Amino acid sequence: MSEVTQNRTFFGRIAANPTPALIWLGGVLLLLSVEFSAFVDALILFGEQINPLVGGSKDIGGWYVDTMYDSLGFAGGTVMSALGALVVLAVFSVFVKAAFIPFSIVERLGLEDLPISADLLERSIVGAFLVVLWLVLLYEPLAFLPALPLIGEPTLAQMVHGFAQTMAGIADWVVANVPTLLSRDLIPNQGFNPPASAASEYPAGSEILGARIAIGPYHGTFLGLSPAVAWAIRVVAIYLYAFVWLVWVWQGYKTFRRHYRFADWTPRDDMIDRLSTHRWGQFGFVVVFLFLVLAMFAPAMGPTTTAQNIYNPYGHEFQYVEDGEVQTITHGTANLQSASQGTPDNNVGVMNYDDYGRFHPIGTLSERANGKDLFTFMADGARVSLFIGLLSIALSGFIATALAMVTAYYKGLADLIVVVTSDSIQALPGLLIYILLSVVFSSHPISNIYSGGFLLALIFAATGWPALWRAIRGPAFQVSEEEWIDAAKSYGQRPSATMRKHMLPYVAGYLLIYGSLTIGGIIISVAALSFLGLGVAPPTPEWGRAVNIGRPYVTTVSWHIATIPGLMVVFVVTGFNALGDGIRDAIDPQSEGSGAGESAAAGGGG
Amino acid sequence: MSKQAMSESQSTVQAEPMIQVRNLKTYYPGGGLINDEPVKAVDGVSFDIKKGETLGLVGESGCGKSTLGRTLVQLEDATAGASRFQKPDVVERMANSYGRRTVDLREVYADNDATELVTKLFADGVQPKAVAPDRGWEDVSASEIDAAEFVQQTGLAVSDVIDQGFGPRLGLFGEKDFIFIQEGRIENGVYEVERGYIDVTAAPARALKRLRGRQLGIVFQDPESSLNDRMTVGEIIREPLDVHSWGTPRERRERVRELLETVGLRPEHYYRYPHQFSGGQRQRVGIARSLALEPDFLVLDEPVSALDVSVQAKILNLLEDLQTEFGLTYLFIAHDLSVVRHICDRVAVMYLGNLMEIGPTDGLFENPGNPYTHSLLSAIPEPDPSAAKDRITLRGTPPSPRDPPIGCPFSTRCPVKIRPDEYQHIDDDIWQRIEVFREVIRERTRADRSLTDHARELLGRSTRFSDVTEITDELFGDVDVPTEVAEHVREASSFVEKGHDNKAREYLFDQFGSICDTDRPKHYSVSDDGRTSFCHRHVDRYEDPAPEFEKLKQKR
Repeated sequence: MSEVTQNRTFFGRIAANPTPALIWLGGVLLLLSVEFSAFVDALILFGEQINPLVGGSKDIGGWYVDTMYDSLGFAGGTVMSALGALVVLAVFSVFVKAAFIPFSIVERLGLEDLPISADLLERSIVGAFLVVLWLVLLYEPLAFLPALPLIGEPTLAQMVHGFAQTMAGIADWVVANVPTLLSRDLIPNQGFNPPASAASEYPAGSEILGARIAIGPYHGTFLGLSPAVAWAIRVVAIYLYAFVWLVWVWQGYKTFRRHYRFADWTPRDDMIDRLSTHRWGQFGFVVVFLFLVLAMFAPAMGPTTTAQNIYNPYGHEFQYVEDGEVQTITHGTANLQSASQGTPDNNVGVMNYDDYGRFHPIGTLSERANGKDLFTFMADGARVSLFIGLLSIALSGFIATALAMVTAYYKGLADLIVVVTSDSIQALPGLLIYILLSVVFSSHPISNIYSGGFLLALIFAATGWPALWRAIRGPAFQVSEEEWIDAAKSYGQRPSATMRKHMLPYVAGYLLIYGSLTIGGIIISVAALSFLGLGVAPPTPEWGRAVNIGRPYVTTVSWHIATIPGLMVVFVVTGFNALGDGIRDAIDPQSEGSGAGESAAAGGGG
Repeated sequence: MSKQAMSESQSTVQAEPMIQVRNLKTYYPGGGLINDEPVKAVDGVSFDIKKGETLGLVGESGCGKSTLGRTLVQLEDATAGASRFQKPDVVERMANSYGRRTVDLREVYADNDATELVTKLFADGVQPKAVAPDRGWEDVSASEIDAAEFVQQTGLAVSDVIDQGFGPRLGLFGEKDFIFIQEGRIENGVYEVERGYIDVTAAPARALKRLRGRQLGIVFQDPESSLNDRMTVGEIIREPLDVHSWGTPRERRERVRELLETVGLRPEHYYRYPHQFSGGQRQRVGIARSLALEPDFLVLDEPVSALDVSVQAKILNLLEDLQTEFGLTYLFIAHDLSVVRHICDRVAVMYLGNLMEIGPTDGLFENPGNPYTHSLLSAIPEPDPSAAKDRITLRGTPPSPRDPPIGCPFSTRCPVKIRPDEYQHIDDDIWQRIEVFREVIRERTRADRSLTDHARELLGRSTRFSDVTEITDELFGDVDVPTEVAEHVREASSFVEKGHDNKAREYLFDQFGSICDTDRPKHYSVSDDGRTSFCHRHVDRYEDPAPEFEKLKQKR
């Protein structure tokens, strides 16, 4: 390799040899385009969840200020509100300085000689900047400018709001008008086999981009196939699509390795090598992959939509054939008639049609849940479980990592404080705290976000970080004793950068392991809370509630209601644990793992 | 060999020192609930390192040499004393950005009177020997002498008082002041420095950050643990450049390639990981990283100890070449004396946190002054197996740095320790046994006794501490002990029997202690080239160590 190419940055290297990168990028765009509106739809959903979050934090602030004024009078309230604002600002400015400002403001501004600690000064500057930003957003001082009202009071907040509105409008249009490959519009599975008398009125098959192609006799289903087959085709297509993505991402990594990476070997190669021989970990990966795809493509996965099935069953109608005539009925009414009640007469089991010609891959729920389709319920429930699991793990992982870095770097008092705090939290009885907090916050605006799922995630994060911190504290301390930490200090590296560059990479692996192990526990806990009737509020589906609903019918023909969700919980949790084991063995060859010695030797030859 | 005590501190002997260490102490806090005596890893060390020279630092493991090296680059905080970095352009740059923390020493010298300062110090309870160490004021207390007389007799100047670190205590400048200007100008608030220093031990973190990498550097012993193996070699070497925003990113990458070539690696190793290198290559990477910003002063903390011999030679030659090329100043810490002899201009011998001897390498190796240096050098293995060599084997282990001897740090193991006058006539063999006896008692006081040991003792059961009569029998049973000695041994034994080990130790100290036990020695000049040794035997009254060692050899 010549000197010139070696000196290029990553993008420079791509510019020098763009073909492989462009091919890969083309593939990505193709894969994206066929599902474009589904992705946009997901973004809209994300925005809808974020919106109340922003409003919620505003509400919490308002609630705090109001409470203070009410209980302490004007003077006390003002002082306490100011104090609260100061605390929030202090926390934010420390965070903003550490995370987003890599250079020393003090040195840039030449303020080194001021008789004040440099860190404090820098944080004060950041804090002051944040105050200005805050005031701009809160009081919109731009509105007082004389020229602005002429163009219709476009204050800053309104402009932001308007921008969001426009984007949401565009997104809605995209979702409504751009076809998606794997949607129920393109591959519908809801239809009926029209009687001979009405065959002309109800032609076989569905419209695919304006054309009507039919193989089977069914009206409204994909190619006129039976609802079961049409649904199966869609599910298989979705998994195929996800699999292609997986392969393409892997392909991208290989392209990078072959064409754009200069190192002919990195420690990561060894990890991948080890993972490639780790069957248990691969099993975990497959299970987790199946679960993730189920959650991500939940709207297209179910044989029916969540709106029809769960949220507004009486607002949606469908047609079916009875006594040789085509009838119209609401989903709600039909659901009630096809609930699984434990008797052979009142049961829609696994892989069965109900009396209205609707296909239920894993049966229906009982009358208590209005006979909803169980698969749709589970697919949407997977989203809830995943949302709570990922959010709480991300939050507690962030807290745990930050604290592990700080305690391991500074040791001593910092460590002692965190030890005492985490021990106090761990000494609390977990279930009681969940119940207590969900009751305390039941009427608070925060409990409305995602039917209480967000609150649940926060509670799990707040009570879960001590365990995670304990788990990574050891490795963090170990790495903090390494000489390269001293070396970094010896050439003047900042503590935050030392933590990030020289400690975090060694702890991140453990975080991944313990995170994937803990996420299973959280899924179980959420299910357990729902089983007890707490946690995620109905009608938002949750796996634990399905188990609870099906409990009386386990010994009857309607065994599927409790058994299948229960098994799925077991599978998913086992899958996450297996994946965690695999990652651990891949990262840490010393732990028992297959062929660790060989690959290490091979890697050493590099 | 001249025997006069040093009339002046070493700093004036050396021309243009780059590093000036004065009375440096690094203690580690005790931490224990009962025994909170600090570990005195470095216990008052003073020396200079000239620009461009290599000072070797040798000693047994645990003598504090690594701690000293780490303190000089402030990886450990100094407990007391100063480590001064002298380079006019650096001092000038720092003075201009830390004007508030800058002291113009000429003003301080002009504004103050030495007698006044010393009066204040004496009133403050400071002893004369602390104000003017190594000048023969050890036995005089502050109440016995008038400050004016003292100043007159010692010729003490304000600079000497400041040199001993009394500046902040006397309020001559603040404790946080760390830039000192000896010669220079101030024009419109801009400093121009011709001579001055930065007290590294007092520098705040932000100033240290600017000194580190550019002025002070360190190469670590273990190349396995000093390189972060999740980063490529290029990233590792580039990090100091990134930290100090050296040049543009492109220039940095080019600089790293240059450095790789400088230390004998290939530029294409940039994207390799430390795993992929041998120990010697990894150490080269470590050296390249330390050199990235061309520091003026580099601490080499046993840089070749972890490497095999063939690689050692290559690394040492590399270090020498780099020194010639960049004009670097080294503090070379090692325990391999042959390596030190090969690479160092001057050598300092360290024992229990103290410098025992310091001076030019050749003289020190050929004609060592200090008894400890004698013992250390005699431990060098002879390549010729048939060569008859009288090796001096030191008795016992070094004392605990928590509880070092009051007098000479080497007094507990010294083969040529001075005897008190009243015991001069006693047979060497018996004297040897007395010393062993004292050593045993000292070890007993040091040993940790568990609660069960105490309980057993109280119940009169046997403990793992063997009975004192057994010890005395074994030591003195087969020889004819003079009565006065036997008396003292019996008295000490009776203390031990009652469980008062410390009393026994003190009793023996009172009876058999000599000047080596009671008084701290001074650094005496032992050669014409400025070598000094820390031993009482250089005083005229006593025989020099070298002839004493000859006598020892003949007796064998």
